[in-house]
Amino acid sequence: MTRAAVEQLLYLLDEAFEGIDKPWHSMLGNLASVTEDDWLWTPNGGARTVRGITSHVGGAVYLYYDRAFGNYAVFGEPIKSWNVPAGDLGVGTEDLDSVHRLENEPTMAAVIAWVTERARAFRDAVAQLGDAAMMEQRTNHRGEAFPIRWFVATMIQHYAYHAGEINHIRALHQGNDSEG
Amino acid sequence: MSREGIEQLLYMMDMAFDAQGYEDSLLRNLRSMPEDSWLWMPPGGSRNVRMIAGHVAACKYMYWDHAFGDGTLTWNDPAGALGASIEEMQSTPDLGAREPSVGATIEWLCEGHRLFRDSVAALDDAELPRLRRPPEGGMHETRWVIAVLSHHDLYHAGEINHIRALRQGDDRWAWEEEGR
Repeated sequence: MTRAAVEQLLYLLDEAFEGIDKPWHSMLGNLASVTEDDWLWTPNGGARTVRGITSHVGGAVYLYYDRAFGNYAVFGEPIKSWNVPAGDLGVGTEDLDSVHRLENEPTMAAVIAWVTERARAFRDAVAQLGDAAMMEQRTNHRGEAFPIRWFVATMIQHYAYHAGEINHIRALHQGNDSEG
Repeated sequence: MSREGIEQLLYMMDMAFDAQGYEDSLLRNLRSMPEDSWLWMPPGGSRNVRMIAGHVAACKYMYWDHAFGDGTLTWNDPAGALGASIEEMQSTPDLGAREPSVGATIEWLCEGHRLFRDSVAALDDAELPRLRRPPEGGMHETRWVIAVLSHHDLYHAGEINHIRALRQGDDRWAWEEEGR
């Protein structure tokens, strides 16, 4: 079983979520500089909070795991609910994405821990694959068929993209908007 | 000569820069920014979309030259034929009469991407652990250099999206618009 391709995608996945070699553009690297005060703040003209974006990343990787590796056990096939329980946070995944403040708002630390747990489950499933398996087809939540490597690449994109959005919100709130 | 790892990295680079579908690529987000908002600055911010696009392009040229070329390019060198320096393109909010057109700036960005991508495409997997020097100094594995620039496209695509959303007053999730 060759793994040259899997190893490179795992490297990109790890750098995008955890930023082990370089945290600048990673989810956890950017969340590390977000304060409790930043977490639910929105800029003028904005609606999404850092909490909403972070949770969206967690919900998406939960969904992508379910579609690529989980045999639809969580969200169903076809999708039965977008608002499945977000671990033991006491709220649903879609509630957590929302722009509204929740009655039972989980702590920032608990949300980040849940998102990290979901990202690691996805990463562990990828790590079990060989290169040939990366080209096996799965259907995404829109019913489109893609090779598994597309699911992995899309999660890499998703982590780095939303890390950028988180950085921008944080920088506007902290008044230190500069290149990073 | 094995190229499985290189091919995965190229696949990811292509998705990050200009994905063909609905994925969150850099060019997709730049194209969604109206030209008359290119220099708009959000309240509390100190970067506009041209500065961010200029920064991404600047890094492509600098990383290409320093990691794969002779390492002589500096931030003060001309940004192609744009009539401004590489540094000005990323750090000056408004170049006044010298402000290049959006189209010309995107062309310059695309050319920088092509140069960097062509250098990666010429490698085989044995080159991935080889140490190279990025413009900020130090020595890093080739795959580190590739990962940094790939994530860089996406990270700043996210920032561009957030600025666009603040400007257009539509900061929400795509699925809220689709009413899934």
